[in-house]
Amino acid sequence: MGGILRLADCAQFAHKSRNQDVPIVEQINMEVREGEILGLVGRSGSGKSSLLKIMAGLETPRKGKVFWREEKATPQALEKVSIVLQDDVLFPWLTVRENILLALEAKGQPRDEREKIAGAIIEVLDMDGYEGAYPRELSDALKERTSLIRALARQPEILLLDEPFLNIDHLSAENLRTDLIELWQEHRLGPLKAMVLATHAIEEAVLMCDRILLFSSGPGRITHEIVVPFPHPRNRQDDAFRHFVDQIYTLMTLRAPSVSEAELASPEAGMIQDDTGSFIVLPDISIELLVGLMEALDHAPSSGRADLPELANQLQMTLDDLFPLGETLQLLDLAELEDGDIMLTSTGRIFVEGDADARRDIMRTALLHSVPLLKLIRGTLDERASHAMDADIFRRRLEESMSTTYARQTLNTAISWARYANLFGYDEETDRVLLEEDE
Amino acid sequence: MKRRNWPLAYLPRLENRCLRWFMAYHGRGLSCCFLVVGALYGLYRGCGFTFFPPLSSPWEDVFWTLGKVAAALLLAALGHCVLLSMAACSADVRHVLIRITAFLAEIPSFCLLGFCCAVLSPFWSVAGLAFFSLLTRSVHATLKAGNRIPSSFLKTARALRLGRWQSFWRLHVPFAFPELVRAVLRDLPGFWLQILGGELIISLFLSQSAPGLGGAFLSALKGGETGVRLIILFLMLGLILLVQHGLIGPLRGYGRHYAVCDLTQLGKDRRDDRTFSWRKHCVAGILGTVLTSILLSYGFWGNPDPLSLLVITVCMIGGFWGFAGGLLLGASDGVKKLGRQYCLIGGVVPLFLFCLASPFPIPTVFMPALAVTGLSGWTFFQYDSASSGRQFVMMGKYLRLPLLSSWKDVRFPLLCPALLQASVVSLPFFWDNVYLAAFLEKGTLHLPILRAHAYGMQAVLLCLMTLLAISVRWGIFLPLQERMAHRYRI
Repeated sequence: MGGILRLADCAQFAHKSRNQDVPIVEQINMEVREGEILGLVGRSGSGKSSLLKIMAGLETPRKGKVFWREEKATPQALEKVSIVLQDDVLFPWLTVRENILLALEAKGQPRDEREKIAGAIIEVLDMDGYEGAYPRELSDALKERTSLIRALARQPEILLLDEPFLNIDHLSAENLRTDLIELWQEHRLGPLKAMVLATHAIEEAVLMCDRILLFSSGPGRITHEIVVPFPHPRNRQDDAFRHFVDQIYTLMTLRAPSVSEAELASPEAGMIQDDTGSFIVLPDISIELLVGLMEALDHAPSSGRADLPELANQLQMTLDDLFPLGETLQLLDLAELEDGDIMLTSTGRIFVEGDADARRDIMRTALLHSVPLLKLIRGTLDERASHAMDADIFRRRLEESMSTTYARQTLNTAISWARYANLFGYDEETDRVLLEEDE
Repeated sequence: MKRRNWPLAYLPRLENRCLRWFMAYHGRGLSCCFLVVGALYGLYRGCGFTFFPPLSSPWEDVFWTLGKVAAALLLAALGHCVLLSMAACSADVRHVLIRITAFLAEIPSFCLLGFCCAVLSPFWSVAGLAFFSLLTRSVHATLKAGNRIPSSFLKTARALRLGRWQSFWRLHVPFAFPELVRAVLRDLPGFWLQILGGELIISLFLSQSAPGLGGAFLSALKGGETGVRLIILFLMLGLILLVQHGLIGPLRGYGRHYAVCDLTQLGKDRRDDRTFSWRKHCVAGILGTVLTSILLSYGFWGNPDPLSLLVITVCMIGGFWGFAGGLLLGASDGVKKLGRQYCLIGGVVPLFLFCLASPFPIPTVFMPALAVTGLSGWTFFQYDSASSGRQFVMMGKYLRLPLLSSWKDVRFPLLCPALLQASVVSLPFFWDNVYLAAFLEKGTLHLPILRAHAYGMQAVLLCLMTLLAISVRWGIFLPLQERMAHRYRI
């Protein structure tokens, strides 16, 4: 099977202030081959979406080249690529049919032809009867199906799917997956020659894809290429299937731990503040979640150590949600990640066993030790006679090494953590951080 | 099979269909037909054609006014298409248009009347005035709303490879359409005031009755004929309700069709704007307001000057809606919807003229405040419905808060942003009313300078009034509104 689309040594960067561009993905060499479903698996912030946008021609890579059938890809060639974005929306004032027709209108096809194609694809994906419905009348699953139809209506050779099943319930997702695979197997998706699925769910990738590329974060790189040996239709309950999925989980946790969103802003994983004095992004995680996770770890059957996929299952969370929590605990030296497991450190155990005051004291020490931003704010407030300062000063300082959004998120998280540990307070009205009397 | 004569066979069906269309939505089709026929006749007259003999007095006036309304609306629609097409060309053009329309929307329309009359016939002067105001405010609202589209929509449009033109017309415009409808609704009271008040001013200015309901009303006032006055007021009311029923109703329906999310609630975070300092803005605004007001009162106005009128209005509206609105905060959605509808009707009715015709002597000084009551009430209910403050009032009741605490800690924080929003929306309408009051008040220079064709003086007045409007809006009300919206945000 020949390659259709190839990325050669591609890299993409996020633009930051002071011309400090941070890499999102780098050294990407990959190929989309005819007749395959390719999976891109990695956590949030590993650059999967950026790669898909490069493949769809919506972004141009800062470094490297994109080839379409071994020739440099032109915008016209990349017109043959359709994408379903993670936050894809249907235009709410248009009916299902009108939404689909809009995609064809953008392609500049004659009206009759548009109607014909739309009718055919609606029938193939079993949406007859809903053509006249407005998106507000559809369930999330039907909306996702319509998005898929809209992308397929453009009659692409490659279909890119960015976390297409993330926002729909489990049963509907399963139904849509099955339908898509069946139609793919039966070659009923028009001229479609390949699909690329970006997902953080390993099981989903193994269920659907023929080949999987595993991505690391900070910046995103391809760490492993795995060929899935099972024929379609695949059975989740099959022992070989389960063993295969477990192996991939282990591969994913072997990587150097880091806070996913922090990695996006700071390439030096594990470093809190680099040589240039820049800070890392703190994830939007509340202390209650961290404490809850530590307590769950401490309780039987975990007794301080647990397999991440099993724990995620037990807590009814996705692994992607659990990872940042584990990594944040690791950042605070309250837990460690190792070989797909998470375990409490000795400080973590003392924390869990302590009463409310003891917990606050431990958290205060951990935060001051591990989060330099908090150390900086507290130190500044101690030095000032008024024991108060504009939060905006710290926000601007953070913006020197990260985007405005991340800077705001980081400061909000820092304030929230500091409030728990009685490190300092914050007056939202005046936007000032301040030491309160009991601090 | 016996073949039937087709026109006869289809006639009942056609008749049935027409009847259904006429009577649907409480006879909206019938209203539309009357409006179209009347507007065509009015336009025909306005363009100076005299093929048909004129109708008898009040009916001729109705059609003249309707013709002006139609001309203003058609011009506004056309202008809208032109300006939005220009905006579709590039984001820079869009930003420039937003700034220009923001400035133009602040110009009190009546200040332009003298200039319009210098170059246009009375018919087109009045229509042009209403068109200008409607166009600037609605285009500004549309373009601003188009800027607040969630990024997911823009990303999808890019993924579908929609062109710039397609993206603008298929995404930006539909998204902004509800805001456009809201802007039209907000501007309706001003629109009617410009049409009827414009006719009235032109009649005053020309010292003869200009065709139109406003002019006829002035003649009736001068003649002291109470019966004629009442008939003309009744006809005005009928015309307004007809336009509301046949035109504005369907427009609101279309607006609801495109309503995705309430853009009025998608305000920017105060922290996004680092330069925001409401105190500095307010100080600058108060300085500007006082200075321009002094210049205006010494140069053009007697007592009370525009600033005093503003203070009186703020106190009256604040007092009335502060109390009535506070009481209605916990009311059900049905009651609020009813309140909104009544307020809109109260807003579009030219209360000013009703006050003039009233047998009770209402001082002109209170008229602007009375006139903006309906519009501010409509905005208040609109804001309140969107902010879902009812749950907080109910919680206050469950907690059995004492009366004072309930007002101080629950109702006042909910009232404040809504009242300020209502004030901001009512400002342009208020200035037009102030200007109209000045025309009718003895001792002001407005009418003499218009009669003397003193364009230099009119230009000075225009500049000062615009400066005053800008100072009050951008220097006082908007910073306060932003401050209150932030302080009491939910």
